[in-house]
Amino acid sequence: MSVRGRPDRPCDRAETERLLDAARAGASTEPDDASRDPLAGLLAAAAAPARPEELAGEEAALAAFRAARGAPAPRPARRRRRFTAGAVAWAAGVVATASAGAAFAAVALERPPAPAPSPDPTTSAPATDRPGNSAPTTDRPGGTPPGDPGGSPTEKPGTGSAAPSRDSELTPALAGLCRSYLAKEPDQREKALTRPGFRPLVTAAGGAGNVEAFCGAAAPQEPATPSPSAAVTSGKDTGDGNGRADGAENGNGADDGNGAGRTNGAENGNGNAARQTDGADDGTGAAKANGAENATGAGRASGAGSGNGARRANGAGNGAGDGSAASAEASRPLDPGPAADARSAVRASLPPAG
Amino acid sequence: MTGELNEAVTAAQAGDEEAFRFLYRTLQPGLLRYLTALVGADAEDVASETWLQISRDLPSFTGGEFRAWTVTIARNRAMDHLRRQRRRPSLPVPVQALSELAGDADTAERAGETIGTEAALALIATLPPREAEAVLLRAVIGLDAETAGRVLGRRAGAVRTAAHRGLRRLAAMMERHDAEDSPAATEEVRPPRPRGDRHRQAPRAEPADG
Repeated sequence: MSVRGRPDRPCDRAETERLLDAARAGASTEPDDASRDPLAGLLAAAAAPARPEELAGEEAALAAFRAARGAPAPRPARRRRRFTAGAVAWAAGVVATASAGAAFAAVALERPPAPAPSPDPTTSAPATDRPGNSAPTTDRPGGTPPGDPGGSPTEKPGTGSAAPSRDSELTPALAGLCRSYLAKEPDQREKALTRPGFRPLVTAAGGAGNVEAFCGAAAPQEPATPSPSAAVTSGKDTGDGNGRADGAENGNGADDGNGAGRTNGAENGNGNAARQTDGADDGTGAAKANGAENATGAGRASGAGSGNGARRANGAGNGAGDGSAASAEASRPLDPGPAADARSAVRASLPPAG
Repeated sequence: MTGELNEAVTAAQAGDEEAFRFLYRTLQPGLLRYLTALVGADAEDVASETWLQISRDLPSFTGGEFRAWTVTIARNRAMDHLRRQRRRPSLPVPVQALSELAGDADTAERAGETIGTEAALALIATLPPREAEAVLLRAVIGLDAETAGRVLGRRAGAVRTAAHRGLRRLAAMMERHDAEDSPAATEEVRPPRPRGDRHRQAPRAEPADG
């Protein structure tokens, strides 16, 4: 192997290459050589077959291989995680819907009995001017409120509670539906009536054709939504049941509740929940659903769903509890009518103990 | 062996898990040993990263020497790792191996007889990086000089030279140890020292060879 006296020192490149190739081919093939030449032995040892500890990462590598291949093994984990997130968001949505409905109901029940006797011209007139508040504007002419001082207190609550004095048979739910209906663009109203959510309204009015008149008669009760932000919201899809829900707006979570209340939790509640679930899985889907339906709340809830379910749930809870108090604050800076603010604040602060 | 490897590559590209397992078992020891010389104790981490990338990029492997492809990935991952550690890639010899070697004459002694894989790799890792890489790519990974040159971004001749020098240096180290045992020997009695020392010795050991 070595030409020189020292047997373990390769003297030329050919020998180096031979040694290296021998190691590369595998030490076991030339055991004699390895034992005779220390350098060959060293290279053979370096290239020795795998030791078990060297293959410790085999399963990890195979897992990576499977993952890269999209094999089923790694997927369950991913899906489970997504499912968990979805479940959390879904639960949060349900809680938001439920508590918002409760808030709505509580405020709605509580409001009518406490009419604030303050002069309304201030409040009602600005309300009419508000661009976003399309529904009230439409309704105005039909109703007598501006001229009727007695009627004004009833208007104030504006939101859920139909004026008890006028249409005693108009339930809050129907009033809400009316508002939703009237808030829509004229060309969308007809379509809206075909939705299951509006069925009670159609039934109550005695047919789709009568809804406009039915609601027109009932409308005067709801002209002035106390807070401008509510008006803006109402301009979108849903009606404006938002006077107080809107007030709850402090947190976004309250907003969710809003939507639920507005779309009349009773009828559409399920639909909302479903949509929120979708949203939890996939934010864009939620947005789409939102556009298609009148459930603004659903859209928001879903948006929230993609974020932190927990926080949303919190917001909903707050909205139910003291959302109305918040409404007073929210409306104050924007609302031109201080009297209205005070009133809504008073009402809002009343405990929902029905 | 190469044919077998290529078959396994094709099968693994088609999704054959057992073929991939075969690839792992065939290639991982060499990669790990090579990486140990480059990044020391972090070799296993870098090897996992390497296999992650191998499994991800396997479909894009279009042919050629699969060993070279994998070892290129491993080398890149090792360089990234060294960069992350803000270590200079030109000084990849694990300190631990160095000190062990310097203080422990047993390594060389064992090298002279039936040397263990660990000791052999530790000894190789004490070579200057270029030489160590050349020796490992040639002897442990099993690349020819041309392919090793492609992996290292150098010419085949440069790889041959580096490997040649590396082997001579290794032989000198073992011989030095033998010389310690037999007082008659006069040449290079000093025990292996960190690199600066060896650099000074190098010309003496191999004056003519460029």
